[in-house]
Amino acid sequence: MSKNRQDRSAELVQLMMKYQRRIFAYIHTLVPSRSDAEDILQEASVTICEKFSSFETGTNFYSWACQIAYWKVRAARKKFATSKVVFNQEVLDVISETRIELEDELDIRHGALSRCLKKLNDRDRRMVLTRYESGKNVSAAAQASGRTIQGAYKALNRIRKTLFDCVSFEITTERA
Amino acid sequence: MTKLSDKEIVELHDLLDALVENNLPKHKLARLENWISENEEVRQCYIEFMDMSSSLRHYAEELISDDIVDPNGETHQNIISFWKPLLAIAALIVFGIFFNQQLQNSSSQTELPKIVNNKVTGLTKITEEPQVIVDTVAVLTKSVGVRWEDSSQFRANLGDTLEPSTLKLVEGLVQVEFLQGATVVLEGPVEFSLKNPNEGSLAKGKLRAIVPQVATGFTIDLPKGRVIDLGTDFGLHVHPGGSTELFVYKGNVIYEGQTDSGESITREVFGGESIFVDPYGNANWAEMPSEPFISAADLAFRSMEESQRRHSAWVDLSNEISADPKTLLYFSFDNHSPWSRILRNESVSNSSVQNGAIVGCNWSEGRWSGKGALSFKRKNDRVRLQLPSHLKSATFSAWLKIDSLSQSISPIICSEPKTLGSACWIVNRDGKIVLRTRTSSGNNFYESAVAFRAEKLGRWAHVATTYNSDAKMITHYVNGRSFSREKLVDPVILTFPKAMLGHSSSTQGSNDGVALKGSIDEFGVFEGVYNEEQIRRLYEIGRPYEVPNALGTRIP
Repeated sequence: MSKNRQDRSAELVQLMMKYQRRIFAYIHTLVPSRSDAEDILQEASVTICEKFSSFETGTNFYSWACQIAYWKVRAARKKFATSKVVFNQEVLDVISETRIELEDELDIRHGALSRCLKKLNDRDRRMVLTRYESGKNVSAAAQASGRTIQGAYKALNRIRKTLFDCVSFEITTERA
Repeated sequence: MTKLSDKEIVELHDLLDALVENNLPKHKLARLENWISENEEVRQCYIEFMDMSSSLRHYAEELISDDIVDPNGETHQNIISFWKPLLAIAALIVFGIFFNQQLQNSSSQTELPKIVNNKVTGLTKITEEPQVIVDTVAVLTKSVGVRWEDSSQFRANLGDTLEPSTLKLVEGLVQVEFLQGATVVLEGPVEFSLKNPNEGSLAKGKLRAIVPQVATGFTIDLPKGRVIDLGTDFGLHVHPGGSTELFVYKGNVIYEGQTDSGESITREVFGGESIFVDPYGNANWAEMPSEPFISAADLAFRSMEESQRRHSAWVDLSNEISADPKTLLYFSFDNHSPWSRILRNESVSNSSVQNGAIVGCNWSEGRWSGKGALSFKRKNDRVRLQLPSHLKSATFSAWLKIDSLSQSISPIICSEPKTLGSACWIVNRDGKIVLRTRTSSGNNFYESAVAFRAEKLGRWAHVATTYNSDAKMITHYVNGRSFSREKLVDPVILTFPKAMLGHSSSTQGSNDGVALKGSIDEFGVFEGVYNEEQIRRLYEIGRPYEVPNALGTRIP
């Protein structure tokens, strides 16, 4: 591989590592099912790789990658037609547009969430993080925290609410 | 723009919470969709909520990556598993698609599995095909006297998590707890399908539903309609031919149906009221159901009786094991205080074997409510033992619950590995039971077939291994059945220097080892070889639940 190609490959790897979380978050906003969103991330990533030669260095990689992801979501609508959760095209478009506008704020919220997680008690933190581990479900979270399934379901609802409120409060405090 | 009221904020949060748990009924999804479309504040809140969900996934994966331990017990702090999928794809680009396109100018035919063959060091492991995750919708929490229909392909065991599926019982009772919170008690003969965490379908038989407020909207489809719960307790009986009885104990439900002539029927049924839907779909008020329904309390009572009966039978067996002169070491894990750091050896006839010293492990609940077990979680958790025996032939037996196999071996009992004859009994990372013995020419490993697969983790299982020098045979048992046999080569007298329960040390020192990720609630070492009948007895009496059907003793 020539030096130029090596540089280009390294650039791609670096960009993808930097933006993977945000690209996934973008897809997950359009496709609420986590496993469906993960599938689309994989498909989008392959296309990003295929088309990377057309990406102009120095321009906004995240926006460029999100465009690819958006079309992957559109293409997947047929697949998700039988899924329990799917928004119509109009709603997808309006969510996508609003999300792009909120990117900076969402980044700040991501950082704030880390601080809010530390404020949870150990049991709640272990539970919510177990729920979000790859391949884990409410049943696993219940086991990790010694709760019944019903108790876990209620607790997760409460913890998400607590975290959401905490993040909003942290941001308001930062701005004040 | 009008700001959302407190009530609306609560409603929105509940909708979003149900959405991320894949539990949102269609009519509520439609409500959310319209709301997002029309209200900017709702839209922003939705985006922030979903973004938080992504961030939680990120932090969860980051946390796991901080805790990866290899089989030698070494921690790798710098592997960020969250990046793994993308690193794999990055490898694909750099060495696959991108490379091919640039150099060969060919269209991409590369598919993800090809990454598996990529020789990029360190990335091959992360290129396994993504695991398909099917969401659990319910858990089977109680089961009494169950016999499954012969045609039933799916036969759940107690404690199994249930995906969308159909349960067909000829007789017996099961209790199913839906993830959204509703509980149903099914009374055989019955055919019931689980559709999603808040919906099921009753094709025939009897059902009693207990629906807390959190699961309001719980729906059961019926031959001629459906029942939508509004927070209540009700019974349903679908007779052969399709007629249905509905009786509401408390609260209220909506019955929606359609007659054969196409007329739509809606009835709101309150506590104490009952309706009868005939085979043509006509709904009429009725006095009382023709037969009573088994409630969750009735089932709990029957289940508790069964559990107490089993526990009591096990206590008798445990006393018998303690008194047996062939028992060298026996830990019943019963009747210890939660702060006890001594694990009592219950073997009456072998006083030379001392009690075990508990290091790190926590006491937890065993196979029955009130019975103790030790949980091993951290790297240094272990029970130190002194087992001065020298055994020509031996039997090992344990009840254990393995929580995770993915990162390393799961030691049951291991001794210092360099001494001639030293033995180590483990479950390896592939889920195989392994007896390792040290001979003059090195270590011999006697492996079973795969005994623990992913779906068997987190459940109590009985394992046993016999070491027979006379017959030159090693036999592994799982849940009372002979599971695999291996020819014993180079027999040695088994010894247990510096033995530890639930932990295996490497040769570098005791601080550099691997602990079991799971729990043990009974363990014994016996002199001589137990036959299959004796081991079956240990399992049959010791198992914490009934075998649900004639084919029920499922080898993992």
